[in-house]
Amino acid sequence: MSALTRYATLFVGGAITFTLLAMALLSRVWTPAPPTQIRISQRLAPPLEAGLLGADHFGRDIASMLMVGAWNSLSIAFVAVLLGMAAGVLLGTLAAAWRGWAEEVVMRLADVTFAFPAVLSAIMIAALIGPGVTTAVIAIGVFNIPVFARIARGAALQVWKRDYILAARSAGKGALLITLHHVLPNIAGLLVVQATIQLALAVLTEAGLSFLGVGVPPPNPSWGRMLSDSQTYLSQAPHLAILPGLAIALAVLGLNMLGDGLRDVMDPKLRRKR
Amino acid sequence: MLEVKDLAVRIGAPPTELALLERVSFRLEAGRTLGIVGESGSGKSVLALAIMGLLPAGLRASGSVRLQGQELLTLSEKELCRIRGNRIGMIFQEPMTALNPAMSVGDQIAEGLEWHQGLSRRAARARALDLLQRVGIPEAKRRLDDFPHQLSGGQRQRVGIAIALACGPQLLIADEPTTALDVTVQAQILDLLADLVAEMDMGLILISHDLGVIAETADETLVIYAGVPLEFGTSRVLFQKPLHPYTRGLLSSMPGGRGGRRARGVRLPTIAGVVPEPGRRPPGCRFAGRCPYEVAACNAALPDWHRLEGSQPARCIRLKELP
Amino acid sequence: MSPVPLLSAENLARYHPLPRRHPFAARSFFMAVDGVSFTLQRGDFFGIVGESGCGKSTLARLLMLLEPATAGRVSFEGEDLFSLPARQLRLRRRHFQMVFQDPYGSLDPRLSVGRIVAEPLRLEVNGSSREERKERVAAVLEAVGLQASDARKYPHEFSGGQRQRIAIARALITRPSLIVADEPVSALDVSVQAQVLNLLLDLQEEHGLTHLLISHDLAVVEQVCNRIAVMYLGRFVETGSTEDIFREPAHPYSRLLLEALLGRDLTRRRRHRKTADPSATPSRGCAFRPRCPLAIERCAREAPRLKAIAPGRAAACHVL
Repeated sequence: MSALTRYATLFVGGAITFTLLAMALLSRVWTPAPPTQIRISQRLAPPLEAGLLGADHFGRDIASMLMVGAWNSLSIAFVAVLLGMAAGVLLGTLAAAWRGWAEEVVMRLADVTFAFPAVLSAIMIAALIGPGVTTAVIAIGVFNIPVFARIARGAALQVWKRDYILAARSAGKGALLITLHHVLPNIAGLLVVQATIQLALAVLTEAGLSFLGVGVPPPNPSWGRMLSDSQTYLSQAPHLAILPGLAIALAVLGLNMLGDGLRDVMDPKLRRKR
Repeated sequence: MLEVKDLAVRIGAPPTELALLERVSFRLEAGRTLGIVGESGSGKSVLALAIMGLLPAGLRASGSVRLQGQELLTLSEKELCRIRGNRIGMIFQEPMTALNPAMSVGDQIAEGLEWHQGLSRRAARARALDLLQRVGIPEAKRRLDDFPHQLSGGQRQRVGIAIALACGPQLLIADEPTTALDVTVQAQILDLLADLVAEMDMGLILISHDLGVIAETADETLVIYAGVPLEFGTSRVLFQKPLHPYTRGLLSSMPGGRGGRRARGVRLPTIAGVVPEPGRRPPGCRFAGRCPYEVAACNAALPDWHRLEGSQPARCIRLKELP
Repeated sequence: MSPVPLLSAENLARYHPLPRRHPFAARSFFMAVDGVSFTLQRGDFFGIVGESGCGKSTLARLLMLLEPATAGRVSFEGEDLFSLPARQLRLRRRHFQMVFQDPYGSLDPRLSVGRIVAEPLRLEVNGSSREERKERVAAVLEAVGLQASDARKYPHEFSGGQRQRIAIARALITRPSLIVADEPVSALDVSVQAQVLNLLLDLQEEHGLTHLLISHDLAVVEQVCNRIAVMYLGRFVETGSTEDIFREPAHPYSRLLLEALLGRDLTRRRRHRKTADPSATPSRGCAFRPRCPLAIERCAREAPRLKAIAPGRAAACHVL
């Protein structure tokens, strides 16, 4: 496999992700039109007639909505995954360092959390504190914890077997410092790859939550809700559904490819040079 | 039976092409064993792969490898598949990873028989039983359905040998077959190989970094350093009177090496420096920079084979002047 | 009046409980190390020889207190290490350090050589400044034949032999009295093995170090060790000076090892050898009995203990 094909996934994934990120960031300072501005005269206008991508059932500019939606989706996904990763990696590496019953407790807690899918958790949380960005972040974040805990623990256990850990113990280092100095740096690569994949999942989940109405509240644009709103007008103005759907698919695809590409690139490097 | 001429293995494309192995030529007759000795970086590991046509992507072999007159390097993958496991058998270093952990031992031996010789499952199993017994597995009948993890390291390697032998190959290539085994088991495996070679009239290429293993088992020895063969000859003579400075240095630096035992605590003579990587090899003699007998002319070009009266050839321009 | 030995092990043992066949079956154990005792004097170069699975690596880890012993005691300079509280034990660690077998696995690939080598300095009683640490690292790198500037580089930039030197440098930095080397040259090329062995000998002379070398290679042990213990399935079967054991091995297993390894006269061709299948181990009596040409009836009943057969020599065999 030539270098080109090996990096292709990484490049394409990276390019898509970067574009979406750029759009999301840009939306903070500029959009073609105010995304929440209602212009009844333009409702359901197809692409290129009113704005680049048309207008929705309230006449709002779809292109602008997508951009702000990108920001919402990506920021929620990012924060949620980050929180989940922090907590999960902490639990996983400590479980690997302590072993014994502490490890059992942590892993069984992880199992229990797995039992609640994010959507279900979100609905439950929404029932408590109401729908919104926080609800989405908590629900998605919590679900990420066991994922990272498992991966971190598995990878950490592999590192603990190496001789350089024995050497560190010979040097009097305790489990905590060993985890910090030796284990975390050596599993970092794996975690980054997993994080990009979890991001893709998080974007999808957020869309699902917004679709159900437990995510980003109106009038803040959100891809999921755009999809939900478009159902009534499917036959009249299919672009209302296609465009946000495409955005979601593209985001998920781009992030997944980025993760895959990173893993491919890292793999041969992980193989030792002799 | 096997004739290798100017075999070279290269990686990359010109102008950044690197030679991992070059100018390897030798012949092997049936019933004889050729030992190939080299340290890491010598290229000995790609030699076996080149003969089998199993080089990974990015590596190219050139030259000629003829098995009973048939050129192997130009064969298609399909034709090679018919030869591998059939006319050429290969034994690997790590018996645990060379065997499929999910398949019974008997099935793995029988596989080749069913595929190459078209035997029925029952016939193949019977033959597999024979082979297990031949390679010295006790209670072979019971072991036929065992899985690799139920066997010891030495037994797994015996199974590996049985698989390699199943179709009665003309050529057997053993790549570090005893390195992963305990010393007492090593001896048994080497004995087994020697017996089988004689009994089945095969040619054996034994590749190892362990000079002791080669000295014991090989009729002739080829010493490879940094991708180039440096010395070649009858094992007995070569190990008793090595000629090339590298071979001499290697043998002297072995604890318990040539010349009987040294007084304890006396420092071992060493070869200064490290084996150069492909791409950083000296343009002339590859051993230049580490050789105690080096002169300026050594860097001019890769030395040809030189010969002293009645002894083995070595690639050294100063062969006649060496003490 | 013999001086206090540098290291002394008494009846060291490490057992692993094996899974029971059913809840009411008797619990059986796998004995990785089964009652090992020996003493190490200052200036010794002690070799422990055995094949894979004999427990020599476990023994090394027990001595270094990297694994908890199921029974027995380890004393360093007369002080019982097992009875020390954790803090004090940590401080003692600077006196004994270890070099591991795998030059590729014993160095953290993410850390620079300087940081790797400096790691044990945290065991020192007084803290040291950054400058001091840098100097110590430089000194110790040069002592092993590398350069001070190598501290900035990373392990993957070095060859196997050089990495092992880095590992030795790391073991040296706290100025220990004892270095335990677990198969330090097994993973290295032949021509590099000699370099590392010479280094160990040099260090012993220059710094008055005591070495404990673990190896499966009798030739290596013969070259550098003054005293040897032969280990088989968790026990020492023979101990004595290198000269004595090589000239006349007492225990049948020692003889077997010597034959397999050193019977390899490089100028002679192979002879036929008969050895039994080593995978069958009896649970009672001498562990070596299935392979032993000298086994008598007593060997099946009673496991022999290590007892003196001559001054400075001991063997565990009923027949001697």
